[in-house]
Amino acid sequence: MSAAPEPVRLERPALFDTGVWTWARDRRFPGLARWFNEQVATGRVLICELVVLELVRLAANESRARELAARLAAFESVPMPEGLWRRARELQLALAPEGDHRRVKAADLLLSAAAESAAVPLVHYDRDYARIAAAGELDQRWFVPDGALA
Amino acid sequence: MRMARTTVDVDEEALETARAELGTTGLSATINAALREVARRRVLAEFDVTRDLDGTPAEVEEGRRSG
Repeated sequence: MSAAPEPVRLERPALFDTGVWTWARDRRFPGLARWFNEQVATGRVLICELVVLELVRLAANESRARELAARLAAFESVPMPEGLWRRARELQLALAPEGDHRRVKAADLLLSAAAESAAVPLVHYDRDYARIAAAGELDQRWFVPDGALA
Repeated sequence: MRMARTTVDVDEEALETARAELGTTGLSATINAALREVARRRVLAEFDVTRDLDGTPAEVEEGRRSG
């Protein structure tokens, strides 16, 4: 059993990538769920429409989906205005010199653009966000250090 | 949304603070926004990612691959 990974210290609210919500449920490290719930309770976990769609997709059945959607309505949301598509396309082309436009997914680009335009950090556990940050203005933060969760 | 008409004594100082904080105008709008904010905070305080969410990181990835 490896040591429990240390989650990021947040001094202000941040957009959380959908993957982090599920990594926080890792049964090997119950401290991650406790940390995540504490960030939610103190208003540090922001959502956006795309994250909501992805989270509700994971719900096991209709009643779980409706309950989750109702709970998520209580979270503060960063906007996803039409202009995000343009910014996502810019980021995609900025990744092209390294060939990374072929690996970074549309959802990653849109979430990055949403966090960038709301001027909030994006908490993630995915190397692609480090690549996007290098190509733009994204303030990216690893949920736990790269490699800590496999 | 069900609405009930009622008469209440309101702490005017607290009302003004809430109005400024919530950016509302008018008594009803401010009181309703304040009540909803309390309910919203309660949902956040009780949220439990282990209990309230389903799914794994692999399922999130899989959704993005097909998206």
